[in-house]
Amino acid sequence: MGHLQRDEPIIVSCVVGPGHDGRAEVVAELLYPNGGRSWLSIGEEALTRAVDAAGVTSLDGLTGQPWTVLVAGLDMPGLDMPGLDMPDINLPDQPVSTT
Amino acid sequence: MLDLIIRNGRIVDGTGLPAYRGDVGVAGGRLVSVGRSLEHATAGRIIDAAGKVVSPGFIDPHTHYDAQMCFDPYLFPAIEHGVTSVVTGNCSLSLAPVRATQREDFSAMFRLIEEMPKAAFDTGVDWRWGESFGGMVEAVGKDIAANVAPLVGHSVLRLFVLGDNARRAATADEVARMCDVLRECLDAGAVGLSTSFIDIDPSMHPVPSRWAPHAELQALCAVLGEKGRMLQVVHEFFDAGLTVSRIEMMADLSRRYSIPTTLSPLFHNNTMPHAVTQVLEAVERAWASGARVWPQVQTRPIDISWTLAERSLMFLVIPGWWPVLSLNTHAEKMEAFTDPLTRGSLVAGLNLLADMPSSNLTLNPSSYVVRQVGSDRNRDLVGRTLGDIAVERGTTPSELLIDLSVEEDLQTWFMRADIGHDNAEAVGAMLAHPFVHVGASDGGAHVGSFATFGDTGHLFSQYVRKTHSLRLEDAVKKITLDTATIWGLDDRGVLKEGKAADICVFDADTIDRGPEVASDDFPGDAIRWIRRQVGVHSVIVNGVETWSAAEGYVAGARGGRMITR
Repeated sequence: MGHLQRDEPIIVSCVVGPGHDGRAEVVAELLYPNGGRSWLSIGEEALTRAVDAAGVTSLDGLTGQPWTVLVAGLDMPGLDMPGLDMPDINLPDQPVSTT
Repeated sequence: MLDLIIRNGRIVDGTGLPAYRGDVGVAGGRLVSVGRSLEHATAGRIIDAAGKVVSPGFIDPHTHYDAQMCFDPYLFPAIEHGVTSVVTGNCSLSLAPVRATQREDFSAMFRLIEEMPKAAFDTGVDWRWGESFGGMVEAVGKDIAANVAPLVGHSVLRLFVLGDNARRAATADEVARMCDVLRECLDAGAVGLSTSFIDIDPSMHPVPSRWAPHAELQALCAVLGEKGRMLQVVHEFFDAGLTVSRIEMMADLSRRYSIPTTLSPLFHNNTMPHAVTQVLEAVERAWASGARVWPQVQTRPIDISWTLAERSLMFLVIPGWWPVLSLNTHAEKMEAFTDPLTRGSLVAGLNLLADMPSSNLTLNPSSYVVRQVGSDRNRDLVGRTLGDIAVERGTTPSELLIDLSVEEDLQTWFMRADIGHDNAEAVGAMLAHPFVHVGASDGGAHVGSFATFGDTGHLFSQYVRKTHSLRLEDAVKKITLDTATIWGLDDRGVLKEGKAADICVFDADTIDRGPEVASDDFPGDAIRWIRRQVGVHSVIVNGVETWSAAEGYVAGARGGRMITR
């Protein structure tokens, strides 16, 4: 994989746990350069490809890798997705108050 | 003369009030007597429920029976678990309205997300209703043994209006058209709208609902508000921060448009135990602000299954296994598993796993269960643990895992139970929480991966009898009257005179889910995983006895109907 860039998040943990609809998936925790953290849930098929792309042989081997190895897991043959063709996270433009 | 009398039962009426002994009478599909003695009354059918609980039929609010109900009116084996009503069309996917030209694209998306074999889907779903939601309601309702409350899928709605290119924001005219179509669906009986913020389609793109700007969702919720119908959301369940944001968004929609909302799934994860607390606190804030936000929690734990023929998540946590499972051919794998040096190394890795406290898959291989065998001579091994079989064969569980697989040409399936959502104390507390909606079973989906049946039995066996997290009456209320009230199914969920006669008769001391077993009953060659009932005595749908322990499924029983609001 490419060298870790200072401005990209890294994987700090990968654990097997409940996934969408009760499937076993892997939840990867990402650490951003500014200290922020986020989580991604990755299905078995995508994770298998990510592991291959990263050249590791265990979940622990993903720790410390740039988060882009997980994107590699989505790089399927025939995938019609140049770059990351994704919608923004669809939350309201304005903060919603519950008070 | 009544149609049906259930005598001497322990009536748990769905309200949460204490159980009491009495009779139940049914006529014309309705409850005509609840609690009073019917000793001298006569009926076409009498059920002796002495020692059994008589409760409302259970309602499953998160299912994907959309495809199965087209070719299996019994939704086998859901009804035998006491389930008399199901909500379909969850997660932004419903079988209508779908244009004839978009059927294959939609089907591929449904099959991928809900894990339905292509042969089963293509053979079983005949689209006999055409394209419209009303047509689907009418067609399916003619031949169904359970009650079905259908949602409209947001992704489907976008495909219907935006056409094949639904990966974009809609124009103002298109949003208006979507609102009109949604209104038509609600008029035809839809109980609400489902949307997803996490699913992907077969091209690995976000599903159409994820491309909708918030203003579009607001417009659709305004239509839901005209009739007070439900918004179901699949949220970013793996990220507590995003989930809290979704809850705040849903609370705003609920208050603004006076609609109930529900999100699913909410899991407990031992590696992030604070997440559930954070999410439930957000739910409590939402309710305190006047919103209705119901997180759905499933009762069953998460399992993982594998063979040694293919790579699986399992082999990423067992030291040394991934390279062997990554060998290119079956022959190479067989050679590796039979090579003494490699075999010894793999056994050592598996034994190491058992001693690794830092791993979240720490259980000793002795607890792994044989799920399916590849040869008849080993059929009696199904359902047994490797530890049990190893003692019998004079070997170790780790060696047995490899040797049994080799013996069966790597066709043996194993299961490691309880890898998540398995902290009984924590999950029990979640299920008992007043704002938690018991659901998220996913019935009818993921048929080739795991069984989605029997969550209701598991609620009683695990969380009533074992952990005592809920009283019997409260557990019944959670999956009957609470569910009916949340979804506005006013005719159901309670044993009360005048209400629809959906009834489950069960043994409170034994009700449970059976072991996971393979079934080849679906169209096509693929097997699916199911669980049969344990401890259920009889199930009545709208007054029609549909299943009984003594006679099984009653041929021709079609008491079900589409629950159109």
